[in-house]
Amino acid sequence: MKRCAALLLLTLAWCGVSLTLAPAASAHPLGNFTVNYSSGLVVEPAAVQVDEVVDRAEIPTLQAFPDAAPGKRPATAEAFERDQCQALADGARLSVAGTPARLRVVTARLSMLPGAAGLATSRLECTLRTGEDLRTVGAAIQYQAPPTAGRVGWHEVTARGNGVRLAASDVPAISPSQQLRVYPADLLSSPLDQRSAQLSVVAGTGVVTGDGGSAAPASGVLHGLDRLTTSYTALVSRTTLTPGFAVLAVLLSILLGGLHAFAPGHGKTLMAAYLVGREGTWRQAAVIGLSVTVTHTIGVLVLGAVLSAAVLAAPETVYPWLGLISGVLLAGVGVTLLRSPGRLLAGHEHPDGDHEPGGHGHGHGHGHGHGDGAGHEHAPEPDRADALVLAGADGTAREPERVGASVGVPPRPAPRTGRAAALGGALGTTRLVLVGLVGGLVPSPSALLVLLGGIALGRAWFGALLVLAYGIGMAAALVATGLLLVLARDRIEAWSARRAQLRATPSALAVVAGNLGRWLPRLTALLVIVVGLSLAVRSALTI
Amino acid sequence: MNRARLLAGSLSAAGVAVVVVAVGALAGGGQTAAQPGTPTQASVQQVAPPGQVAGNADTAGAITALQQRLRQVPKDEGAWASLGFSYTQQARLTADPSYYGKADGAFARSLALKPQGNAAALTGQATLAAARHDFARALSLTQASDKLNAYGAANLGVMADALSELGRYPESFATLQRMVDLKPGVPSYTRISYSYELRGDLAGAKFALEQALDIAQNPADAAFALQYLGELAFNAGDLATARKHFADGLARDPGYVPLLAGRARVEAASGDTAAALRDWQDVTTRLPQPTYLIEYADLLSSLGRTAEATAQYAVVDATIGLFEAQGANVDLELALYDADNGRADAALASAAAEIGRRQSIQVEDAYAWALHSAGRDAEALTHARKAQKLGMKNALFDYHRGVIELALGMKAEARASLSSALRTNPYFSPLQAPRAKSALAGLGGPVTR
Repeated sequence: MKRCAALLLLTLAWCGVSLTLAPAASAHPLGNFTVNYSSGLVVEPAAVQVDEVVDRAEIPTLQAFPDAAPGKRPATAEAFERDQCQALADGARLSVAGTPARLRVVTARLSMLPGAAGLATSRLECTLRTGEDLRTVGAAIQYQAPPTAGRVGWHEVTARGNGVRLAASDVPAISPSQQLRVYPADLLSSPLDQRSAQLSVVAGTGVVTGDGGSAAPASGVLHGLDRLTTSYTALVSRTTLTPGFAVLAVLLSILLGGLHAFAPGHGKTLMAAYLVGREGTWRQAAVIGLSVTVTHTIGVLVLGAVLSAAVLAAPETVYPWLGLISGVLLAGVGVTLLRSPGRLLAGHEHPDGDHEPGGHGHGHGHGHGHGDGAGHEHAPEPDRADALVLAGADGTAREPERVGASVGVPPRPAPRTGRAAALGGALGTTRLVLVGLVGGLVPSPSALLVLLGGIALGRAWFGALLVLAYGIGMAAALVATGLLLVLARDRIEAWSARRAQLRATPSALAVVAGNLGRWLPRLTALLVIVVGLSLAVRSALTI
Repeated sequence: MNRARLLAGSLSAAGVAVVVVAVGALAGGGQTAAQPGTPTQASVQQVAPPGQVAGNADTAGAITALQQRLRQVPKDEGAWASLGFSYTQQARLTADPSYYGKADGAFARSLALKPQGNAAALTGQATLAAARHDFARALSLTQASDKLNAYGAANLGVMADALSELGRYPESFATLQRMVDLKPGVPSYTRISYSYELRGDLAGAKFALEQALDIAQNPADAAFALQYLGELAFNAGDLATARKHFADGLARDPGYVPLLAGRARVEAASGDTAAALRDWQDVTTRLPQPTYLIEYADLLSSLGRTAEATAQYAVVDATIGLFEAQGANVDLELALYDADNGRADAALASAAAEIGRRQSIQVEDAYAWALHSAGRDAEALTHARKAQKLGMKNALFDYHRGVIELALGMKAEARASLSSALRTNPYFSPLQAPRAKSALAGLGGPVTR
């Protein structure tokens, strides 16, 4: 009975899906009579390889093979592989530095896959290669996909470097359809119709600058930013280095870094949540911002060095791993936050594990937390008091008179009372640095481009300088954001404290704020775990 | 051929009509048009389309602009409906069916955002229902849309198509009149032309198409009108004029498959077999639709190239199996095909199912032919006569009727019908036209009028 119901639900769900996604309910997502083409270019120092894939839906497969059946090799398969791959090799137009380069067939493979109504779809994979005597470095490469006899279908071209770098490319590096295996079902994307590629090749390794147009559905702002970065990179790599230009480039790098800080996906938004949930201080904001910058700059430099040295390491293979690591790290941070939610930065328990990164903050914390204000009668909700003190930690605490004995607010268990002393203490700083590390671990591709651009020009030092500037811009933007949040929070607290003072009894607002204050850190911890895990899963899926 | 014409006709006419709505919906944000009473036609036209839509010349450009807009404003139900129409238009222009799925999704999104009073999205869904040959549903959707907005010319176009396919001709023609009064243009003129053709008024049909060609704004519209002009000439046996129109259309839109098919028919009819086979090969490679595959196979078969014809028929069979597995309605196509290939039971089952749903003259003819193949000629004759109730000059209808009359021993009537078929278009089918000729010879040759 139960199983029946489940089956019914499943059937309904399936019907629903096929109805909404494809009214003709086609097994082939692009329709039963499409023929779809993918050309994957791999540019090597002395040769170009083209991986051609032709995916035929049910009807064209039948037209090609009268005896077509899923999993069964047609009688004419061998001749078909040979002839069709040869036709693709002859039909494609490839030129390197203006000279036509002939492609020959290296491998040819036909497979018959199950389609709708018991019919088969077919997949032809041909590896085509030029001779091994090309010089691609410094050359412009033009590619025109083989003609397709006016057939309806998906057409994609991709290009990446292997042992060389593509300084410019008008196609994506990664196939948006996983080489015709998955077709995007997005209502806002049209079937791809990319039939040619223009590349320019330089020495270096595997990084591709192509934005590939329609493949990546970037949001408007982000897309604009990418374009900005691309043109900026082009500028840096083309112009001769004059002092004036160098200064301009550094300034632009700072600006780009600052803008990048607001791009989603690198845990910056998470940091903001962190600061709000954690009664952060000016100083903590600075610590996180700095650690993001340092990690990011080092990360870019290391990755850049690795990519320049290793032939086979392509960034698209490295990024998912970095993403996975940073996701797991983040989730770990979240878990520790959850386990000790009461102790903001776990200061008490490890009073001596401090000082490694310069022992931030001790002096201030001790100096104020309990020192002033004991004589005043009114107090805001106790948790908040410490933060207020810390906010004025430089000795000119702005609201010291409020801290201390409370009149109206009933004493609650205050697990955080000693916190101020520990704030910024050892483990706290470690955790902060860890969060920063997570934020900076995945190097921004644009920074990497900036660096590699410099390296490719034989100006590695300049590239490194630009990356540093980029990191500084990033840090400035992050710290500024953090500070703004702290400031805003202080204002709100000051306001609610004043309210409490006026009424001398806990207002509903104050109670709510108090509860919120207690739960916010836990919520934040959960948020951190969720974001971390989703980052890890997302990265793992692309490995 | 009539089948192909009909199928392509309803689809393409809808496609052209649709852009007008897309532009209108964009201009009015989908709102103006939905308020009955307020907008006169003039006021709607005065609202300039907002940049994104560069007329119907640039469907791809309009699609890009709408996609961009919807990424930024995902809750713009008017833009979703417009995008759906643009996808439908693109499906017609490129023959890429994946656009129909996207169109369906876009209309559904528009309706989800605005479930009540969303006239444009209802018209969109009606267009897709008609494309799937679900004409009853298309009609009820257009009627619902018409209640919300009585000024939707494109909606009236789809409604007229659905009524015509359902065999409700007087209502269809009245709806068409409303449409052309509201919005004279390529979509209404081509439909008017077809309504004349259905009633046997070839001069009127030709005149309406020439008007459409005259006001065509872009190569695609012009190619569309020229394709119909070519078919009109071919169906009247005028090969030279048909050839001229098809060539003219192909010069403007080289990849337009219906034009290539038209050229292939003319070539086959004028004995240029090599060119005809080459063009049919091209057509069925580009767009392996059952109707084209059947025509190609019929030509191969008429040339005695049985093995090749068998291979094409095998593809047809598999395709029909595929369509059926997907729940598409292929009954009309299937009935004639089965009847022609000696599968009487299957033909009768399909045709009976279809005539239960709708009684257009095409369905009457298919049912008659299926009944004949099952040996039920007396019933067949009733329906063959019904197929001619509008007075359409259709060589295939005449031929079917003549063969049925011959089977009933009505020699004089058979002779008249077969004469009429060959007089209307001596090239109506590479397989059947020779059979009509030999049958007629056995009856004493063609009658002169």
